[in-house]
Amino acid sequence: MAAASGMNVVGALKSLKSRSVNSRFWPLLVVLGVGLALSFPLLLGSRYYVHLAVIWAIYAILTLSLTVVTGTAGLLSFGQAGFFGIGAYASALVVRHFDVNFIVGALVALLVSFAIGLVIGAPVLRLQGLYLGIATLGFGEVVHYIIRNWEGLTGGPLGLTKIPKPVLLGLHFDNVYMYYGLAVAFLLLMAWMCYRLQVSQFGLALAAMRDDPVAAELSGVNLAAYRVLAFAIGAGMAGVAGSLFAHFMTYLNPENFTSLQSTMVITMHMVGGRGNIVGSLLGAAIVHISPELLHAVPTVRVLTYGALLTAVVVLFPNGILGRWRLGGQVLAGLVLKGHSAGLWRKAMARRLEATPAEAPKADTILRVEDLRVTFGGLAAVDGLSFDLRRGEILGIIGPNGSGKTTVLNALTGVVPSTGRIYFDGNEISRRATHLRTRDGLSRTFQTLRLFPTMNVAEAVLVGEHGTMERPTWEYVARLGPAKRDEITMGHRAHELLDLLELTDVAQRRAKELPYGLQRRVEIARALAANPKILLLDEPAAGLSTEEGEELCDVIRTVRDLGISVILIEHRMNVVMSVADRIVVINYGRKLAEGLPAEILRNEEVIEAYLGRRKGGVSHAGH
Amino acid sequence: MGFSLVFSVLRIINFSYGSIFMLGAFVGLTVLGLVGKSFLAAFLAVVVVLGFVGVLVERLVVRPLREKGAPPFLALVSTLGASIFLQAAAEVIWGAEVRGYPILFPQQFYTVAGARISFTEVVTLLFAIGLMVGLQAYVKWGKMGKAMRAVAQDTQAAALMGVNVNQVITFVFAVGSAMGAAGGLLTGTYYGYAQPAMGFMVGLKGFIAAIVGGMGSVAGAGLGGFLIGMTEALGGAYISFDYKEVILFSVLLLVLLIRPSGILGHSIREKV
Repeated sequence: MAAASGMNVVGALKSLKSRSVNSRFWPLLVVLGVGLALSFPLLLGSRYYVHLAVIWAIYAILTLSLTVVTGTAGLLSFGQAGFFGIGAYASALVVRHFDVNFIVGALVALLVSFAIGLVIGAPVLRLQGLYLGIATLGFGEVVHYIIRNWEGLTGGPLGLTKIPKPVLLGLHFDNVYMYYGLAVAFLLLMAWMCYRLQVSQFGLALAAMRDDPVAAELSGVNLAAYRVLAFAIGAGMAGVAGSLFAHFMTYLNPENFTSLQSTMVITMHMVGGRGNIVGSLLGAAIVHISPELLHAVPTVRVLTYGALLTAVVVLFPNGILGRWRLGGQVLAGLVLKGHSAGLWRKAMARRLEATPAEAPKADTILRVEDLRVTFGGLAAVDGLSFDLRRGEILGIIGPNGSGKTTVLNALTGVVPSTGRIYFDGNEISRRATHLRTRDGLSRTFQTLRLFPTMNVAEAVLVGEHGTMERPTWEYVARLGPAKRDEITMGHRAHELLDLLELTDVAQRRAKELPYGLQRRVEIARALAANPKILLLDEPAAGLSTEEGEELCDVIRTVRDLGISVILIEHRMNVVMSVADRIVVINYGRKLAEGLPAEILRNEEVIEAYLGRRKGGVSHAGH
Repeated sequence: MGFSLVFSVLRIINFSYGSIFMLGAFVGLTVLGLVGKSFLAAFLAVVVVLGFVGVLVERLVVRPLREKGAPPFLALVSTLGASIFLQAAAEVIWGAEVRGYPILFPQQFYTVAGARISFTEVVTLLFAIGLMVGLQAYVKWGKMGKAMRAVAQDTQAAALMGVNVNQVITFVFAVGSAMGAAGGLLTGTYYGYAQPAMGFMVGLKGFIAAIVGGMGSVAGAGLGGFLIGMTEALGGAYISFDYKEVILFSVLLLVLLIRPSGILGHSIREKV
């Protein structure tokens, strides 16, 4: 019976998933949800169930904290219980010793956890994936043992007692119904903040980082800083949950904050649907409440619980609410609603005019001198020098394995190189990748690197990250000017979608589009950073003849806007028809340089491509 | 060690090891009760029974996820569920209390370089080393070992070369679980008791040992296990007994920060 009704709920959720939720109905859904949540304890009748519901709300906030850290930013944290404990003890101690209001305690919990999140995050977030998970697990255990052993401060294994119940605006939250209202209010506040974060440029950058760190960095995202910030925000949220927990229980025991609780929160997060806010609430409910509802002998209860947990994960690998993402729909909707009145072109024009005064008047925008990249003992790029002139399309061609893509990787700082790279007269050889993008160096990828969970509009918005000029915290808080910035970015994204004829597919997931369109999305994303130079890595690979011609038109349009282009390409017909000048490389060295017509006649080039045989090259694929 | 083996092949973390370790101790206890004090009989029974349990875990909990193409870290949660299930099952069968182990080996003591070592300690140590060396050799030279490494490095290519990937993975789970269970039996014999709750912390520490030593390296797992034991013992003895776990985890963090892929692990750089 229970299983059958469970399946019905799942079916209903699935049908909800398949329908696209209209953003206009969203407020209505929220009101409905709030009403339901608040009247819920009255339906339960028993104080015991209300007590359970309060703990659910607190765990739901903890799960939301993981939604930010793991779901959105992709950082595996097994240490949420540590921050939960820090928040709980910080709040309890402050309120008890200084006799201040509960709100002050909650704020202290938020700030202390956030600060510790920053301090711990800075070194630990150099690790990735499961290693990060284990490091955070270790952190959580350390917190647990410190709480247990620092008897002078925390009361040690005996626990901390006599924590005051909150009093707010003259209301005493000393009965379980009142406290439930308070917990739900906090939960809704946190859910709303989470939602705001997910549809912000900052949140989008976090998601980009989770989907594809390399592509995110090349879109101008400062990976290291964003990782730490996301981690600390999650830590702060967990701290708030801890504060709520402390003042509800009025008694704290170190065993409430162990890796067991951390794994439980992870489970809640995964059962509900990773990165999904509603899913977090649902996951917390299933994992926390279901064992309580199974009226059975304790051991059998745990047995069923283990089986249930496994079954849910095996049946729904993406969580019950799966890949259902509201944020993406909302963002694409906003972009499409925005007008496209040439804001991007204006911004581009401003950018291209603003050439640094100290730059020599010479029309070289990028100078590469003696560039070398070695892998092991092999020199993939071996002392290459060339210039890119302002506003030209420079083709770089060469046989397979000649080091073409490596040149781009070196220019963007993805692989370490020696030699000198001057961009607008400034040396950028040692500059961080995301800063090069901000300087105006954008690229696309030979192997498409579109963010798998994002729609086309979102991908373009991520590309605009390199144009964000205000301090990061403003974008996190989304205050005044930063908020206006975001709106402008939406308009510019719309304009780019129009320019590359992607408006019709803006709401589709980028990875599901035909190949030719995916290539264009990559170009749109690169252009969104307002580049002075666009680096194209084999943009014609895999395209049909027709699509190849369309691509040539796009490249010319880009050049006519005043953007300089480096085009790495295999397909000779494409290079020959659009390139103003061509550099041929082989074995990482420059073989020839000149106008397309000269290159076609160059004996050495023909030899490198076709061996010792002489012949026409104009349409050779390789 | 079992951890490391499964991780290296599947890139997943199997949380059920702690429980399988614990079950190893209990199954051993039951067999000892049935057939009398024969360590060898207990060992064989434990290896067979829990190797089979390991296969079941793989079939029911891990393979469905793999077939759905789910991200590997999900197996973490599903095996955690399996672990909770197994531990609860043990409590149903054997009760939640501590159960004493019979004394299997003569209470003999030797003095080596001033330290008193019991016969049990010698047997435990030799057995553990024997298992490790055997496993290492097998992964290196055995036919299945080669297949394991092939699957670990490129599952698709291995499948195309005619390796039966499912069979290899099942085998890995069987061997890994059998090893973990043997560890449980040895622990039971050594400390003289078994308890359903003994698995969790052991699972965690085994996991940490694998990480510290370098995930995917069997030798690394052995080294990691040794380091963790030493850190705990020395830290507890010379610095502070109350904070021995804190010291342990601090060492873990330190190792990870200095060598993010563990002491004997190799880092993998993504291609652009």
